[in-house]
Amino acid sequence: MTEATRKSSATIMVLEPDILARMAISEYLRGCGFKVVEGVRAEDALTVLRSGMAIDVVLAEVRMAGELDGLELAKQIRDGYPGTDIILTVGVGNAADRAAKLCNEGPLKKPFHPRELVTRIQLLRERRRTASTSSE
Amino acid sequence: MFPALSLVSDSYSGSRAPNGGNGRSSRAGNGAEHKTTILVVEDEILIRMTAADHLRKAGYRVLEASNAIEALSIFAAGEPIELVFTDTDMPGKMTGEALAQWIVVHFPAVKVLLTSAEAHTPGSPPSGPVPVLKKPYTHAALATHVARLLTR
Repeated sequence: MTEATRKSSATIMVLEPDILARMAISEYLRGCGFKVVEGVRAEDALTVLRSGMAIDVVLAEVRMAGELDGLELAKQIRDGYPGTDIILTVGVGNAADRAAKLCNEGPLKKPFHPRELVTRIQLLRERRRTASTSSE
Repeated sequence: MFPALSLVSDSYSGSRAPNGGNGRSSRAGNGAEHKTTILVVEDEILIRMTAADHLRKAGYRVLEASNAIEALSIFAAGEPIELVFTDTDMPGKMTGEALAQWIVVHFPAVKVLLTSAEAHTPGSPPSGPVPVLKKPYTHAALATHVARLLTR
């Protein structure tokens, strides 16, 4: 993984079903200097890989909707795309932590502490909750 | 220490100068703070990825949603979106046109650009003045439309 992410042009795919977590984690990794591709379900990773685009690391939540879960995706990537590393995460805190570790290896300085990333996701969720209850 | 992401961004009314064109600023961090935010709504990942990537290279902060409901979540979370570029034909509970209508009603200051593979968009009268960029579009055409809408 270190070798993959040290390249200045390293591409990371974030697979995360929760939109607000996906948005925050992706922006965080872009801030670390990576090119980031955002996907919702496991099939998105295979679609992008089959298109010929090189993905260095797939950061995927284990629990995803769709026909494939994270574990099955990991198997398919290991078998079919040996140049792509896959990191499976369980929950947003774990994903933020792994994103921070990737960031340490990235070309740019960490934009902020991973704890702030989790705080940001919580804040976004709280705002959404407030907005949806007040508009009912 | 480095609040590169603006955590408080509740104002939609401010019409900051668009940072389009080759407006990449030479800052460290992720630089979300002074860029114009665009939301791209598209269910097909390869199309969304390339459109978003192109707009980022043009200097915008780009958020991505894979359907209209995700787009609503991003609005509800208070992101300072200035323009939404959305596909009309998406699976799910809400079409791109319905999303455009929702934005016109709830966030009238936000610009909307629709895209459709169909020559004539069904229901175009209700979407009124919302412009439509026909698929397939070139990235140059997308950038031109976006820049024009933002300076309007």
